[in-house]
Amino acid sequence: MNLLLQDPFSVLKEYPEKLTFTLENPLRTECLEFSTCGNYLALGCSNGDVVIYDMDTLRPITVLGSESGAHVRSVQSLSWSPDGRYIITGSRDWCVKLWDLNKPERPYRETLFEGPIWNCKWLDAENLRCVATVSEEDHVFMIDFNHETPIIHQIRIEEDIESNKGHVLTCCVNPNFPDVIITGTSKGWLSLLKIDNHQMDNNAFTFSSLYSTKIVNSNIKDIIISQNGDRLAVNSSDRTIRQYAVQMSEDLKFVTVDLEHRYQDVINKLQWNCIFFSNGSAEYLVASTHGSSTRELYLWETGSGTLVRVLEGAEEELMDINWNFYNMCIASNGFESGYVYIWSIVIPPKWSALAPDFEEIEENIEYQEKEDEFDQVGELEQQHELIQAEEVPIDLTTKERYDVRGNDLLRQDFVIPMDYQRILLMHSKK
Amino acid sequence: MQARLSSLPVWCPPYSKTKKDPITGEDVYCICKKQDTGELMVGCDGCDDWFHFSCMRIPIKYQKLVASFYCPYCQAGITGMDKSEAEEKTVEDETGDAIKVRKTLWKKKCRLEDCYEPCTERSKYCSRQHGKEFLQEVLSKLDISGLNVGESVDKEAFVKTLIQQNDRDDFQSFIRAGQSEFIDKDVPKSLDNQLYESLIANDRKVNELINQQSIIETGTLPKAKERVELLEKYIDWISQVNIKFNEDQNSSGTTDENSSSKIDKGGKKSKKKKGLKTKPKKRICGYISNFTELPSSVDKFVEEYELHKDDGLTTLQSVCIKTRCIKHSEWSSMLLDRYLQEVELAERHQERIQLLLQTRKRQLHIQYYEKVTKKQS
Amino acid sequence: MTMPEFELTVRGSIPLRITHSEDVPTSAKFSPNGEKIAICQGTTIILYDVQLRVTESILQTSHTKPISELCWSPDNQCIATASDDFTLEIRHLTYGPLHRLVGHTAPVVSLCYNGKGNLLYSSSMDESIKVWDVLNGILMKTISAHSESVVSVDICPEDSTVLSSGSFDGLIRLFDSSSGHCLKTLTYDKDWKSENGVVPISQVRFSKNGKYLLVKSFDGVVKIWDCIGGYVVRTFLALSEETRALKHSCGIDFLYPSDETLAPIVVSGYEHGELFCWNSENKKLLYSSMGNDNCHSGSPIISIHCRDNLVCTLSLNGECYVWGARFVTTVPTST
Repeated sequence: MNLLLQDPFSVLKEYPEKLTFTLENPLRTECLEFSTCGNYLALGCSNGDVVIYDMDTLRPITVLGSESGAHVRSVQSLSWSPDGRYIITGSRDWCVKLWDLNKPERPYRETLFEGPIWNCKWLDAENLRCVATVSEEDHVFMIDFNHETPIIHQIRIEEDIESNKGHVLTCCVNPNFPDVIITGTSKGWLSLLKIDNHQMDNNAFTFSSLYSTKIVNSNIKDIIISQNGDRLAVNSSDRTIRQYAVQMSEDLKFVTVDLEHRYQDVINKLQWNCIFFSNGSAEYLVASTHGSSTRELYLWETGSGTLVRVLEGAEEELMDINWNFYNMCIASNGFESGYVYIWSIVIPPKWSALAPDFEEIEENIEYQEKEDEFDQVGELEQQHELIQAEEVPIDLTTKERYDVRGNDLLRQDFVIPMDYQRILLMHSKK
Repeated sequence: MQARLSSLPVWCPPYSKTKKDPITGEDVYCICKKQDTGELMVGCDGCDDWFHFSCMRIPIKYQKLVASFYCPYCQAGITGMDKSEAEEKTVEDETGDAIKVRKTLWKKKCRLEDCYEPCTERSKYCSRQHGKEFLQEVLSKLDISGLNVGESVDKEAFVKTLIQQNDRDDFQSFIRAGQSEFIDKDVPKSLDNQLYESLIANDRKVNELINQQSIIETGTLPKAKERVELLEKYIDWISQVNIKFNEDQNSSGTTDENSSSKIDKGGKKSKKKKGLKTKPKKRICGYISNFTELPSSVDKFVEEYELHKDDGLTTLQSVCIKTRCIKHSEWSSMLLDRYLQEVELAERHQERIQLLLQTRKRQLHIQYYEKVTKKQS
Repeated sequence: MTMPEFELTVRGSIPLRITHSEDVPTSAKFSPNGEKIAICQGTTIILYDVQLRVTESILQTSHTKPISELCWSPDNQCIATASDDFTLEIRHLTYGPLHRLVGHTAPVVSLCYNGKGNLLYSSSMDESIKVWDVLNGILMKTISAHSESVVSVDICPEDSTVLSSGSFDGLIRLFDSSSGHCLKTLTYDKDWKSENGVVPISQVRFSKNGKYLLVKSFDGVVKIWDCIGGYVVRTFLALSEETRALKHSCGIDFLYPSDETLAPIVVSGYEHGELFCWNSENKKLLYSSMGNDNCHSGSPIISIHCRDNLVCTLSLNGECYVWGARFVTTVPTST
C-alpha cells in the first residue's frame, strides 16, 4: 500500500545501495538474521546473548533468556521460523535452543550436544524440526523439537562414513524438497541427502544419499540455496565461491549439479567470509571478504557472473550477511566492533505530494497549451462525472495479496509481545 | 550536540544591529529599538541586550519566574553564538544526555493560583503561608456529603480521622502520606473489609506473582545452586584424578627419567611421553555427560586408567580420557558458567517479580483508597 | 433477492456522572478483544465490562487537564491518553502508568497505535504529528506538514505503513509512517474554491484494508476517498446544510458486518444527537435516529466506535450507549 504511493522507479530497485544505519550493538554481533517480513533483526552475540532489534525503532526490544537459559558462549547460528514465532539458535556452548517469542524469557525447548555447534537450520518449522552441524562430527543431526525432551536423529549414511568424507561443517535445506538437505564437509564433499519419515511411526526416519561429489580439496565453509531451489552457491576455504545450477526430478531419481560460475578475488586473493542470495531465482549474490583490508560487500549478478555493485560505508571487515526482501535491507556485522551495518533503498521525499495540483518534473518543459485546457466544462457534465465516480464498486476490506516487489502480503510476522516488565524496571532504576 | 536553530516568531522583526538612536545618539534596546523609559526589561543571557517584557509578550506578573532568558535572536542562533559555550545552560533531554539549549527557562510557580512567586527549595509553594492557604482551598472544595460518616462530622475532622486511621502515628506519618513508602504499605483492611477481599486479597495478578515467587524460591533457585555444587564436586574429583596422574608420572619420571625416552620406542606412546616431559602436567579431558554421581574413587579410577591406557579407549566409566580433547575443550568452565548463570538469572527474576508485585499492589492500594473515599452512601 | 434489513437497537447504556464542567466525556473505545469499553472523562478513564455490563474500575490519570482522546494498545493491556495539558500518558491496566510523553507545545487532540503496538502517533493543536517509541517512551519523529491544528490521525491496523491525518487547514494527508514523508494530499479542487474557504476536517478513519479513507469535515459531509487514486468515491449527506454543520468534532466509523458479502456500513453522528447509518456501497440510508430512539437528548455525539456488530456512541452530556447491529432477512408480506 505504502509502496503504491511511492515513486515506482525508486521502489523497484533490485538491491539496496546506501548504508543508511549502523546499529551499535554493545555486545559483539556474531551472526544475524531478519525475521521474514523484516520487522525484526535478531543478533547472536559473542557472550551468548541473542538480542532482537525492532526495525521500526532501531532499538532492542527483547533479549532471549532473560529469566533462564541464555547461551553462555558465542552464538554461531540463528534462524527464524517463517511465521516469525520461533527462533532456533546454535552456540559454542554445545546447545541448540528453540525459542518461542511469545515467551522469550526462557527457551521453549533445548538440546545439548557434545561439542560446539557450527550451524542450525529449519527443516520443517511447522513440526519444529531442524538440522544442525556439530564440531568434529561426521554427520548432520536432525533435532525434533516437537517433544518435551527433543529427539536427536543422526543423519548417518554408512557408506559416507566409510569413505571418510570428513567432518560435516555446514548444511542447508532445499526449499523445493524440504526433505532434502545439502551438506558440505571438511574434505570438500558436497552431498544431497534425503530424509524419509515412515508413515507408521512419526519418530522413525531413514536417510539416503541422492548425490555426493568432491568439489574441492579444502573445507566447505558455507552452502546457500536460492528460494526456488534451482541455484546453489558453495563457499570454501580455497578462496572461491562456486555457483551451481541444480536440477532435481520430481521423484528425486535424477539429480544434476552443474557449475555455473566461480567467484574469486583475483587481485588480493582473499577468502570469502559469508555469502547470500537474493530472493526468488537468486539473480544476485552478495559476499563479504576475509581480512582487515576490505570493508565492502560485493554484489554479483548470477546470470552473467559480473560484479554489479560494491556496498560501501562500513568501517571494518564484514562477517555475516542477511538480506530482507520486504524492507529491501542488507545487514552485515563488523568483525572488530560487532556493530551491524544496514544498507537499504533510499526513496527521496516528493514535495509534490504536499500539493496535489503540482507535478515534479526532471527538467524544464516548454509549456504548450492543450487543446481542451481552458475549455469551459459544463457544470452538469462535471456533476455527472462525480456521480459516475460514486457508482464504481469499492472494496473496503480485501487486502492486496502481493506488494509491488512480489512479496506475499498475507504472510505476517508474529508480533513480539511488549516487554512491560522492562519499562517498569527502567523506571525503578531511575 | 549543537542547539537546534529555530526561526523567529512571527511577531519579532528581523535582527538589526542598531545600538544607538541615529538622531539622538542615545542607547536603544530591545526588538523595538527604543530608549530606556523605565519600563520593565529583562537581560538576555545570550547577547547582553535588554528586552521589554511587553515586547517579549511575557506578562509582567511572571517577572520573578524567569530563570534564564534568551531573546528571540539568540534562540534563533542569530546572536550570542560567540559566547563561550560553557556559559550556556545545559538541560537533560529525554534520553538523559545533557544538551545545550538557548531557551528561556522558567522557575516553578507557587501552587496557589493567583501567586506568581517562585517556589522555595523542596517545596511546591512560595511560602508556608501559601501552602496553608492552598490546602484550605482544597479542603473547602472537598465534598463529603455523599459519605456515610454521620451528619454532624465536619470536613476538617473527617480528614483528620481519615489520616489517623491510615496511620496511628502523628504529624510525621502525615508528611509521609503521598510518598511511595506510604502507598507500598499494606492498606488498613478495616476501612472496608468487603472491598479489601474483592479488590486486593483476590487479585489474580498478585496471587499469580506470589505463586511464581515461591516456585523460584523453593524450586528453581535451590535446584540451580545444587547443580553448581555437584558440578564443583565433580570438577574437584577430576582435578584430583589429574593431580594423581601427575604424582604417578612424576614419581616414575624421576626414577627413570633418563632411560624412559630411550627405552620406549616408536609409535604414539613415545610421542605422548615426550609431550609429558616438556609439559609436566598431564590432564585428561574429564568430560562426562552426567556428573550427578561421582565415578569410582580417585585411586580406583587412576588404577583402571593405567590398566587400559594402551587400549585406545576414549572414555572410561563414561569419562572422556583424551588428553588433548579439542571437541570438549573448556567444557568444565562452560558448564560452570551455565549453572552459575542460572543462579544469577533466577535471583534477578526474583527481584523483578518483587518489583512487579510492589507495582501491582501500589495500583490496587490507590484504587482501594479512592474507592473508600468515593464510596457512596 | 431481498436485501436483508438493517436494525440498530440499544443494548445497554453506560452510566456516567458529570459533576464538573471539566468532566466532559470525550472518547469511548472498545478494547481490541471486545471485552471492555474505555471511556475518558475529564482526567479519568472509566473501564466498562461489556459482558457483565458493569463499570469495572475508574482510573485516575496523571493528566492535569482533560483528556481529548484515548486509544487501546493492540494487546489490550494498555490505554494511551491524549490531553489538553500537552502530554500523553501510557497506562498499563495492571501496573499503572508506564510513560508520560512530553513534547507537544499545545493540547494533544488525537492519537493512535500502529498495528504492532510498538509506536504511538499523536496529533496536536501545535500543528504537528509526533511519533513515539512505546517501549522506551521517547519521541522518535515530529512530522510538521499542516498549517492548523491536526485533529485526527489514523493508521490502518492491518497495514501500519501509512498514516493519515486531518487538519483544520482542510487538508487530508497520507504519510509514510516510518520515514515521515508525505505521500499524498487529498483535497478537492472545489474545496478551495468554495465561498466559505476551506472546510476544516473533523475526523479521518481508514478502511479495513487501508485503501480507502472515511473523512468527515465540519460542514457535516462524510466522504470516502480512494487513497491511491486520490479522489472521492462516496459522499454521504444527512440533514439540511445548516443543521448538518458541526460545532463539535462528531464521530464516524465503519461497521463491518460479520457476513462478508454485505457491504460495510458507515456510521456517523451529528451535532444534535442524530445518528445515521449508510450502506457504503450504494449509499442507501439504513438507519436514522430521527424519530426513532430518544437517545443522546440532542447532545453532540462526540465519539463513535464500532467493533463486530456493536456500536458505542458517546455524547457530550455523558450519555453513552452500546448498540447492537444486525441484518434480518424479512420475507415480504402483503399487508
